[in-house]
Amino acid sequence: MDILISNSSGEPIYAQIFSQIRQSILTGELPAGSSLPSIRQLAKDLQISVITTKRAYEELERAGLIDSMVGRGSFVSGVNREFLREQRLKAIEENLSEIVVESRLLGLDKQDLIALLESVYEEEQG
Amino acid sequence: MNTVSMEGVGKRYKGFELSDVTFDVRKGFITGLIGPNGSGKSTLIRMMMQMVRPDQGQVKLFGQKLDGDAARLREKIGYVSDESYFYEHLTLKRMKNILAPFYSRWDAEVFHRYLDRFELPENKKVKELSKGMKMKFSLAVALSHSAELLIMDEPTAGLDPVFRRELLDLLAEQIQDENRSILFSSHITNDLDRIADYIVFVNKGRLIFEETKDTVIERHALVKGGKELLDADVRPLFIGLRETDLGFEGLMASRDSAQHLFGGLALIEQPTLEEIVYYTAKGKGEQTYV
Amino acid sequence: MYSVAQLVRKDFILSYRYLLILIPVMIFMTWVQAGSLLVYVTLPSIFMLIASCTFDRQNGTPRLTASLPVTRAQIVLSKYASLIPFTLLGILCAFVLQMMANLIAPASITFGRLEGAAVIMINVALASLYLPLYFWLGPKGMQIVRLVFIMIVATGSGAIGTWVKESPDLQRWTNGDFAPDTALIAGSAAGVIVLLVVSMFASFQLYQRQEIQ
Repeated sequence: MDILISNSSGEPIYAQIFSQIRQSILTGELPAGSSLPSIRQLAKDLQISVITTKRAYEELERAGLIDSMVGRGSFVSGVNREFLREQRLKAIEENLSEIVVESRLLGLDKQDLIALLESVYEEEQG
Repeated sequence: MNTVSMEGVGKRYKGFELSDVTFDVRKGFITGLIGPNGSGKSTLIRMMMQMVRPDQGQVKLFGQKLDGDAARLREKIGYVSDESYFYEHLTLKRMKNILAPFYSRWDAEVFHRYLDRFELPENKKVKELSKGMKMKFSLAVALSHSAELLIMDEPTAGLDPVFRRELLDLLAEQIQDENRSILFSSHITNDLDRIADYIVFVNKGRLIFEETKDTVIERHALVKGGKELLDADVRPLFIGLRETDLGFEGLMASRDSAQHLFGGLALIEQPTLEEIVYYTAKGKGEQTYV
Repeated sequence: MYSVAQLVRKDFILSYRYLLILIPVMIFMTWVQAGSLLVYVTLPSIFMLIASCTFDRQNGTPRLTASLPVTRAQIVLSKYASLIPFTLLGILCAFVLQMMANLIAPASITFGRLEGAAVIMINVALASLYLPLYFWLGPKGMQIVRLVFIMIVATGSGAIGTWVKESPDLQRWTNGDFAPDTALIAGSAAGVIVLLVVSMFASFQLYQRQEIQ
């Protein structure tokens, strides 16, 4: 597992750790049951504060992605990956329906929106 | 139980007063004591070492009040002073021979490992060492008697950037077991801040804040905008302000109120610790309006 | 007590080298026949004591000893205790030099028992005057005190030595050739002990309150 921290992105460091570990879990790079580095080891490796890594782990725990056991460390939880994927799909759907509502207010039709999406897509890829 | 508790300590000197400072050094964490020169950091550290006694308030080390001569507690402290206090005319080996017997948990093997790691020649005299090497020697001594609290007064002074980075690893190693605590002081924000868990900020003898570093940074807001946005009602809301012909840049204590006041009108950014220290120490620069 | 012993050991490591500097002086004194026990004992031991004090404050602050896990009382006590090995070292020097001198010219140097007692009392008295000043004064004041003490000890021990050699009465007295005045000896001994106790008490009080910057 790689974790790369950017100091210039403006995104809080704990959030960067959270999303990168979540990514590794969702792609299956970190299978259920595999152990994560200890909070203090991760802080040392990334040269950041213990409290920051602790917060990232707490968020991961709250999201049901990892389990932490006192004295034994943290493990990727046995949560069904499909279930997690569905949850995220649902989130995307919600965002999209918001976008559709917004677009109607601005008088954009379906074709305009698709064109917009395509250009955003290209930008992201490029 | 906190490793160190400063409870409302005060001290008056000619031309300087430290008043009602309260903060803790928490077990298993790294605390950075920061503030400009002459803000009282060294006095606070000397109180912990019982070199200076507070006029008001009290200091607790490992849960124990420092009232009598609590010399035994110093065995659990590794102290790195801002200036080398070793006997200049002695070799490092002799110096170590003097110091080691005072600590019941002195570990000769650990000490030699640090000498190797820091590339310190045992047969050199203290006076032949550079400032950075003296600091490393001081660190080697402080880390070789299983101290539970490491107190470092301005440790990065004289250290090159390469070693400053290495120091981060070294300190992180120290707190891996959750039982040790580290306090460092610094008048310049530097690499050490990266790994600091808590920040205690003092200015002109007063405590400005004591918070986790993440909260400090997330809570504050750096606002950049045109001068027309500033007026008599808005100015007092800033902690520090810098105005030029091209606009202003100022620090606010609450990100929410910055968003509320300037959202969409000015740039609102997350400040660095350095910017927080700078603007707090600078203030609003009233002199420009006199 | 262990800590005090370690502090004394520290003082010894710090300043035993000063003896090496003083040995040529002592040999010279022997050669010009000015050697009294004062030169051999008081000069090096007070010199080493002053040196160890100076090293403890080399950057203007006694921070090293203050950082150690020892109490202020132990620090004060150790300085007085350091006088013991320093004086013993001086006495050893005196014996070695006496033996060497007497090998070259038999009976050229003799030390009386009474002279020995007087020298030990002088040592204790000098240290009792010096140490409270050391624990009290800042670096600047101490510089002057140190200079004055070194002058007194260096010139005084030579001068008194010569004076004793040139006065047959005194010489007889120091050699113990006539019955010593017991009252005088007991009186001076008691005086020195009182001085030592007062001095230790003062040093302790002064250092206890001192702020170490």
